[in-house]
Amino acid sequence: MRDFTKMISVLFIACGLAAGSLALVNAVTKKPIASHEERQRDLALREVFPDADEFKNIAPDRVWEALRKGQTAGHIFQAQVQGYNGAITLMFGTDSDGAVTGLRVWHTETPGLGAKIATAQFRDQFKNKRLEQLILKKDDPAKGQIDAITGATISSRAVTNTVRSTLESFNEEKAGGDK
Amino acid sequence: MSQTSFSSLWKELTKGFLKENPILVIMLGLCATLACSTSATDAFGMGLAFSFVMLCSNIVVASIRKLVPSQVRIPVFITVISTFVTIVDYTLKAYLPALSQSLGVFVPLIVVNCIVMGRAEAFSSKNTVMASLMDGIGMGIGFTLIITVIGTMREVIGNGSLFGGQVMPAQYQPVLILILPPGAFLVIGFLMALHRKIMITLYKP
Repeated sequence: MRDFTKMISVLFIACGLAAGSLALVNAVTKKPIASHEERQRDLALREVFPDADEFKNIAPDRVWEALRKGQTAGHIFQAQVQGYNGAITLMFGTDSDGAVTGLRVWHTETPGLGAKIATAQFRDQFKNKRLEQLILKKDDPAKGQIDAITGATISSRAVTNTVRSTLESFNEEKAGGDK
Repeated sequence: MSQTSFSSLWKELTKGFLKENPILVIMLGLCATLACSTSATDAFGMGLAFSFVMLCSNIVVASIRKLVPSQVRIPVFITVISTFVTIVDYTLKAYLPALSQSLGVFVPLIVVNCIVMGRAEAFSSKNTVMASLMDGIGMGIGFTLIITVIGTMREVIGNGSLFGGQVMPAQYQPVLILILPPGAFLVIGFLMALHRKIMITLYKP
């Protein structure tokens, strides 16, 4: 019985000390982590929409309005999709004419293959493209304007189709709201 | 056995380098080694993060070894290890965000790197704080050294670069398989063979 009580109390104290020290570390690092994440997001927003000078979050972590001199210049979207190996997060902007201004991806795809979706060579293909052109050439040879990465069709298709479907659902939402 | 003498402490320190190298000889924690060695930078960062956790957990486990009843030692050790891993993870995120981003999910995964648990159970729960400290440093250095060598080989051959900078001529066609998961097994296999050869020449007549 004494053994039993000792076991429980030792485990209890160990967990309590661990919890206490983690709470302390969390309190110290919380602010730097949050401000760093905010800075990262700000940098990303600027990168996908270089022409804007201000961003307004209209749907948390999903849609931002890009403003230039107080006027709406376009929108920025963030979306997530299942890639070949884990989730791919993308952020892209479109100007008021519906042309893509830039794209950024965060991923855990295979190095040397799917990871190439993060290269400028792949991402720059999206610039100035419009909704109907955002499809892989191999999926729609007539309208498609995006070249898939050799050996990484799944990753390329995931990115391209997600950009298109995000834009489509946003346009539908907007059309519905205008009525 | 006197563990406070200088020569025995030195032995605890150096055994992790080659003789009892955590990757090549003990062969624990291979999953982290396989996953984090696709580039030299990641491998080195992983090695440093691992060494810190290894050292801290060894010291704490050794200093509480007489207080913890043996029936609950495993949960207590796991609590200690995961606490230090979380501390490393938060600290990296807050003050070294670039490294934290490139190591990604693998820092939290140090918890399941069985070599930390293995040393706690096999060494520091039975030895003095000083000896455990030496063991932790030695294991850390041995792990960092070998994982960095693996990362270097995989990055140079598989991607044509080293620590992120191009080192192979532009027309070099990277051998992709080395940065894919099978490449890690190939490289570790070759290193183990080389290590055997070295050990045999060094320690046998």
